[in-house]
Amino acid sequence: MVSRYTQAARQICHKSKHESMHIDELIHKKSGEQVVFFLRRHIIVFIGGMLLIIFMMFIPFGAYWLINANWPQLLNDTLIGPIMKLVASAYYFWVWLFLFSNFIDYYLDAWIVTNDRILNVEQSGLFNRTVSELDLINIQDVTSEVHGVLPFLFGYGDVFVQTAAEKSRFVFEQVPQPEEIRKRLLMLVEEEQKNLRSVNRRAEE
Amino acid sequence: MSFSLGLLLIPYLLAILLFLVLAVLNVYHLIRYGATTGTSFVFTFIFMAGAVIIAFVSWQMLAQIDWTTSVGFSLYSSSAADLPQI
Repeated sequence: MVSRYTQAARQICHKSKHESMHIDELIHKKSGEQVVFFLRRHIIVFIGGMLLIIFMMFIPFGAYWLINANWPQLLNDTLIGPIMKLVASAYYFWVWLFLFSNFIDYYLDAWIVTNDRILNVEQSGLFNRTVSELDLINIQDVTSEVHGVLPFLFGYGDVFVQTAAEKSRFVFEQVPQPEEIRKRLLMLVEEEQKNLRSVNRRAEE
Repeated sequence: MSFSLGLLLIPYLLAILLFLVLAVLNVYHLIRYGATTGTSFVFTFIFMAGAVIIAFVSWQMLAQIDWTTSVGFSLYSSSAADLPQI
């Protein structure tokens, strides 16, 4: 049975089931476990990275214009001319790859919140991947932070999940509606704690 | 000192080879971690199409160069007239 909190929390999930990663391939869901949130960074973070890369694609045009205006003989030089063409070609290949890597980095970083636990799936570069999880019952405090003009304007920020353990906090980075996520997460924790108490009571009886 | 222009292609081809390896690894990551969705497919397609366009334009640009030409240069310039005019 899905609670009203769970149903409300689902509204924040900005990706449909088909657009999300195949969650079953990432986690082995326990019986009765349901995915409540599937979060990624706010799309504006990805778009910002894309704009930077698009800007980088115009740099060779600017360099060409500058050289053509000041040292036009370099473009026709037997040695410098081919070197510039090779560098420009390699540069575009690599900027294009950088753009694709930016997408992979955005797309493969995700936070999955179920009615039982939180999973943090993080891709750092091409060869580092971290998957960590935290039981909702261990959560002691949830804090949301929105810092800066862009996060304020576009409504994204960080959500810090604190446990009693000494290990570092779980952080949902640059996620949309951080305040709403914090509230829903606390509701889920409360719900989980109630469930646990009722189970304990039944066990005692 | 002189050398063939074709020598310049060696570091260029190494850079392209590395590009290809990393591109394949990126696509592998998408498939390996189960992100074979419509969005990832579209982005992969755009990436591949863009790479093909860059390769085509590069080919058009580089094919005009005679890579067998031997170029010579001197480490010391004997005249200020050899320097680029600013």
